[in-house]
Amino acid sequence: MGGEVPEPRRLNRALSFDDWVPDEALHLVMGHVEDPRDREAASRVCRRWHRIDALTRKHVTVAFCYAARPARLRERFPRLESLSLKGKPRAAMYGLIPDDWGAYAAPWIDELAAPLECLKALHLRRMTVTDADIAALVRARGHMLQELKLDKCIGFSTDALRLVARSCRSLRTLFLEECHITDKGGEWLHELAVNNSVLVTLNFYMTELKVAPADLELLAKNCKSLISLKMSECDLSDLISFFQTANALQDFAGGAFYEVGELTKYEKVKFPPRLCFLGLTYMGTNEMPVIFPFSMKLKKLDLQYTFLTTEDHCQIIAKCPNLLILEVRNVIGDRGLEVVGDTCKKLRRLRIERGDDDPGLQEEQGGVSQLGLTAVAVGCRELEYIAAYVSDITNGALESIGTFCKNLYDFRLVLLDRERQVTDLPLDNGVCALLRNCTKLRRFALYLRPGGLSDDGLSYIGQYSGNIQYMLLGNVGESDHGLIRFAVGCTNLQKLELRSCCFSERALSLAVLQMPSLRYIWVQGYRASQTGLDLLLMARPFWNIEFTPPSPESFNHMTEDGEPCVDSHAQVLAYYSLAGRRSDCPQWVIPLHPA
Amino acid sequence: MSTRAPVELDFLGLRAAAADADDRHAKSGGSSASSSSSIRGMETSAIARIGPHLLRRVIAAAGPPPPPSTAPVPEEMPGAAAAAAPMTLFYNGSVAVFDVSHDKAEAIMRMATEATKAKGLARGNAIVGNFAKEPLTRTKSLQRFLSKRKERLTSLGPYQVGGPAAVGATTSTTTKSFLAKEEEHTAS
Repeated sequence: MGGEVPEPRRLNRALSFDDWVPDEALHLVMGHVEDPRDREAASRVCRRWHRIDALTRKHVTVAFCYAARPARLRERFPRLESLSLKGKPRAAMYGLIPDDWGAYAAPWIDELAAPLECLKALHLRRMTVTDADIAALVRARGHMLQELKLDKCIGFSTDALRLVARSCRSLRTLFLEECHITDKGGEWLHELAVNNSVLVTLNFYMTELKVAPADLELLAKNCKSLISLKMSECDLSDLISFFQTANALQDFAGGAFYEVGELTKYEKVKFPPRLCFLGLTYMGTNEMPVIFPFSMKLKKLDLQYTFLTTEDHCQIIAKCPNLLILEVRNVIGDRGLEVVGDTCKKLRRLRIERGDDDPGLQEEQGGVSQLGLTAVAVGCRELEYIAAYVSDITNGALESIGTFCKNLYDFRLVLLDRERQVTDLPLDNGVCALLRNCTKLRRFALYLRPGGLSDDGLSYIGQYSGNIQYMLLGNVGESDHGLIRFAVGCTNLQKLELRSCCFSERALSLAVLQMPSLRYIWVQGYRASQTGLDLLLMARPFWNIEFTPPSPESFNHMTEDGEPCVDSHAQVLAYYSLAGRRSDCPQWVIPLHPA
Repeated sequence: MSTRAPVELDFLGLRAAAADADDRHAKSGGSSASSSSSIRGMETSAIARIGPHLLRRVIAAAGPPPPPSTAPVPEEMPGAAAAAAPMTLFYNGSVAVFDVSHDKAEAIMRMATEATKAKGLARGNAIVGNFAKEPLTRTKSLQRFLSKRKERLTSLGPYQVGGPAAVGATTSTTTKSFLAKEEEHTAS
């Protein structure tokens, strides 16, 4: 209609519509629209809808903490009840990003904790959170906070947890899984047990925090609603009283078997009657029978941190026909996966982690290959999530997954570099079949070895990417041409991670410009140009480019665990941001921008 | 703890026997190339990926293993365990046990790892030009678990030592198997 004079009749109809639907009604309608993409679309209809969406928006996820400014978020969504923030690149989970990289929670908490009067749920992932940050949050929102999730965060101590425990009496969820927390004593748990009576979920799994069993028992006594407890290691025999008290418990992980071979010590352990999610640490052949009495009821089983052999896996899984979620190491072997396929018809999520590569430790044997994956694909047709580290793979196996697992929305495959021979490379046709058939796929990861996927295969991935929003690709493609053909097809891809590929800087830049929905790319392992400036070919408004040079051996960054970052290759991170360039880059991160 | 040791020793014996059987089967097939490849289905380790010459050089550099006759007597077990403990090598489908000091064992493992890395790097260069492949890593929590697991299993080591006769028998059996393999290679 630009330039046209609107017909009087049309103008009248528009005005009538506008008057006919009152704001209150639109408020109610918007309140029922929950899909963030639908919300985003609705907010663009007109200014009025934009304003009403802003007032009714209850939850926002900021997918990358440097993509927006805290103040802008506050101005736009003043009545937020729930906020999720993601920080460091995913590679931080694997020790590839130094801890002082950034992703500080402070600016967000300082700006938002007090003004957002309705905020009661905060979820931070892979961020740096200090005791002072948590103190500020507690001061501003302590009385209102119901959910606090710090997921793989670093930088705080049990002092902060004591403050949370003492001040946040309405807290229902405290989630600290895989955080690095400085342990200054177990008083925080005692405070939590004494002050809280509504806790439903407590998770400090994989944190190394020491706790007193008596405090857990007190917690169970005072919080009748406790449904989920995932804790750091604690000898299972010390939890007998806790289990007797925690009648509502459904989800438990973290108890450990410290005395190998001393089964009499654990015979008295009796799990709560409703327990159906379970993960036990250091469970071995002799301790396995502990879970046999209620294995039929198990819906989730986490065996990643056990001492089980392949045969043990077969034996346990054969007794768990109602599993929805299974997490194992590749010691399960193809035989174990055949048992999964035969037994677990309701399985939705399967994760097969990479175990120890040293066969000298007798417990570790076997590996996962096309045989196991095919058995699972044929037997478990409700699968929505598969993540597998495999030693061998074929196109046929990927085709089977495509044929039988129509509900798959997240598929991740890593081909281990241990075996010299892989049965069937390249995997072009298998990948093509999987992507064509799994039309619900939203996330896709493929980490192979050189020769694992040709340029044709890469082109198929782009062509059939459909609604995939996140991809991780490693050791794929043969040339720049393959990457360009891939990029041309990716219309909905928002986030891309590339590792160990042979593409040039120029090709990476051109690919970025080809993908209309891309807002974030992380690359490690590429063909650097002489000057490193071909990356600037992707420069455009609101697009930040950050380069991390390869670090000399003597200049290793240490993580807080005291281990050096495992490799020192250059990294490139580029992303859309409404906040402009980062102002808190460490010295070793170089922002790139045109002169 | 004492009930566990016999099980471990039997396991090693069974594996060695199985390896021998597979080896003979491969030989009867008539192809010497197939006999040199790793046994199907058996996992290979960093050491197994090294060529036989390189492995011999690594072990020689670490120092020759003491002869079986020096197997520890019961009274000296604690001291002997500290000085020298069994180190099991899985190599090309065979199992060999050497009594070496902790330092020598560490040296052997370090050289094996370095050799493997060098080989991987060379392979990478061959495929994608001058391009080094980044190592695959695990999530931090899984790394921590595997590290603790190793500690726990290693700490069981001293308690696995049974009677001196059993240890001697196992050592001599597996050593013979290893030597037989070596002789065969020399002959061919």
